Amino acid sequence: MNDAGAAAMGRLRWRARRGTRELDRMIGWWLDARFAHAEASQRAAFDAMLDESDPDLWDWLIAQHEPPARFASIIDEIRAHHRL
Amino acid sequence: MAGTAYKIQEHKYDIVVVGAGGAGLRATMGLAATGLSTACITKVFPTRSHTVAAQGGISAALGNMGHDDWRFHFYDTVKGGDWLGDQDAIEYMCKHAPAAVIELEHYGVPFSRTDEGRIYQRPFGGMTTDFGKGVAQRTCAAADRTGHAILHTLYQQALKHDAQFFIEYFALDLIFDNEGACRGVMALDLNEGTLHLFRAHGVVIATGGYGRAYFSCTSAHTCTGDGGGLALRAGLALQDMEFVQFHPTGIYGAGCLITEGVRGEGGFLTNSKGERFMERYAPNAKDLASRDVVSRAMTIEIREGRGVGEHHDHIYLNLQHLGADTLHEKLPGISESARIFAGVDVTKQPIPVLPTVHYNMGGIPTNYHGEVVRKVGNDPDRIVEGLYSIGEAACVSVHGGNRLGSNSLLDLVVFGRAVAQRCAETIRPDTPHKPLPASACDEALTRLDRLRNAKGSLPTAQIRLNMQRTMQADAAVFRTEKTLQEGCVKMDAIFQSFDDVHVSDRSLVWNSDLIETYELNNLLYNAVATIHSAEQRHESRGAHAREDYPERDDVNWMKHTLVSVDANGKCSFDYRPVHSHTLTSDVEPVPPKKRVY
Repeated sequence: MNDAGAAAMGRLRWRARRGTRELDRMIGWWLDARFAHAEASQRAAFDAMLDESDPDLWDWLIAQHEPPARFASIIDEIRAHHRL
Repeated sequence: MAGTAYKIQEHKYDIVVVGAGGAGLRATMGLAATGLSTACITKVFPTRSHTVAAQGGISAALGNMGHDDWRFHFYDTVKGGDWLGDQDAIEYMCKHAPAAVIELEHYGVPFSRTDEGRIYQRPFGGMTTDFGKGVAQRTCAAADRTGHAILHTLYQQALKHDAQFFIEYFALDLIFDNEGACRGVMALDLNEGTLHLFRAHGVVIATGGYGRAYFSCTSAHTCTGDGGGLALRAGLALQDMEFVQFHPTGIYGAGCLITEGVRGEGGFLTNSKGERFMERYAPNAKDLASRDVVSRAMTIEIREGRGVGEHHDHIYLNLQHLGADTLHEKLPGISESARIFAGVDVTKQPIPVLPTVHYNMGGIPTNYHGEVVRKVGNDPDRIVEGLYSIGEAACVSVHGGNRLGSNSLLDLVVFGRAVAQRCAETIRPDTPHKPLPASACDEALTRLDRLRNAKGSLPTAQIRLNMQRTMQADAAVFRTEKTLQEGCVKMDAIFQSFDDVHVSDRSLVWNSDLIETYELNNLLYNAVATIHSAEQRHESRGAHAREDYPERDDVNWMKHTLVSVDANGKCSFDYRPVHSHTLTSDVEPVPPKKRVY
């Protein structure tokens, strides 16, 4: 990975740090397991999703609320991985 | 000289706050509101601080659900802390709790309401009426978003008062003048990779706890005890570090928290015989006894062979009788947490749980104004000029040997507010900054250069895992001389192994490896302080349970431990007296007695 690539990953890794252990695990799982193979559009969506609030992310993950369409495929993958 | 290679951007403020959780934001807002130029530097975006995880609520004797009085809250907190808390600070906190909560409401925190429109309050462990006789309903919540609602509200308020935020900046080291007064902090902008010297008349450390020193904890990755590291490296002592709270209901294996609120709503624990064993340990409070009592009871049940599961190594938390509707309505997210992290359906099966590291009662010693204190000669309360600390990073000490649930959010806002008031009294806006000694930043820069170029043989993650496993095994719910001494030897070696750390990335831009290495160093300081403090306290009190010294010993040990850690990890000890007096005659001190629930 070049310097710019390493910095971009470092930035995502830092922002995937959330306020709760639950989200650290769930969001961190997607970054570790799926990001490298994801389409550019899904990668961009993941980046944007990290700007959302922790309670909103959690509500989408537990299907308390519908996620915005651009995050839906990522949320679905995390849910499926966690047997939801 | 390493420093010449680094360009430093200088900023001048009246005061700088490090950390933007509940305590840091409440202080930042209050400081800015008094007209002091205020900067808040934070390694993560404010609303992503770990305060967001505080769902349970905030305690205050509002009396909305029935008879209550702040003096009952005071009594509960003194008793909950097993008489290690400073009663002047506890009086200050409990007395100011109702005003602090009403203030939050006015700022915009949407607390849940009763049918009559008052703030709804629920029962929580250790919270009683009439000095232990009844069950208090004292905990206010904003549905399951209390922590987030407080962060969001305080952040908006702070911005409104023109506080300046430096987000995704990591505090590297504190900067002192020749007189030993703290006059700033050196920080790294993670995004640009630039160094920033924040000069100020005072620095408020509000960096939270160090749960990640342990393998199994309820904390987010971000809880790395940065403030404790900053203070210890500056030669200051930390206080009561042996007191680590284990939350009774961390999900077995995952560590994720099931809130105490579920026991407030009727959830209960059982062993392998299906017995509600808490009735034996705490006949009155049962499952709502304080956290240390419940965690110890669970550990004894497991140890005596009555644990559940294949390895008989955990306990069940039963919510099946509550019904899906109650769970959904009163405890949203619990069913999902249990499904995700334990794979169980809570309407049909119990949740496997285990006591899990949750909170650090110890921290940077302060008075009830949030001013950091140190012991100098016979004076145990000498103020460290320019340095303040609040929240979980600090040890005021209101939680003593064990914190009660919902007293944490209260601690944040009450002392965040107090430190702002104190600074308003002692710092004049726009006071000119005295020159710093030429060498003031040398140590910080040398350390940066060394860590950035660290070419040892041990990856950061390896040293971290060694530390976490050692702390988990040897500084656990129950402690004894032999394992503590073994643990101290192991932790000392792990601390020293940091000299052999390997950082793979030399860049300063989004170098997560470098920042995690800084965080690891902070964790190591906290960890070594914790296990050595535990080894030297020969009694059982609050969360510190010694098998070889099973009783509380007020004659010899009713005192605060002060621990200093040198650059080699060597710990040295001193003590401060517990403040057994109250602040005013509004409430009588609670004399020590045996703690039963």
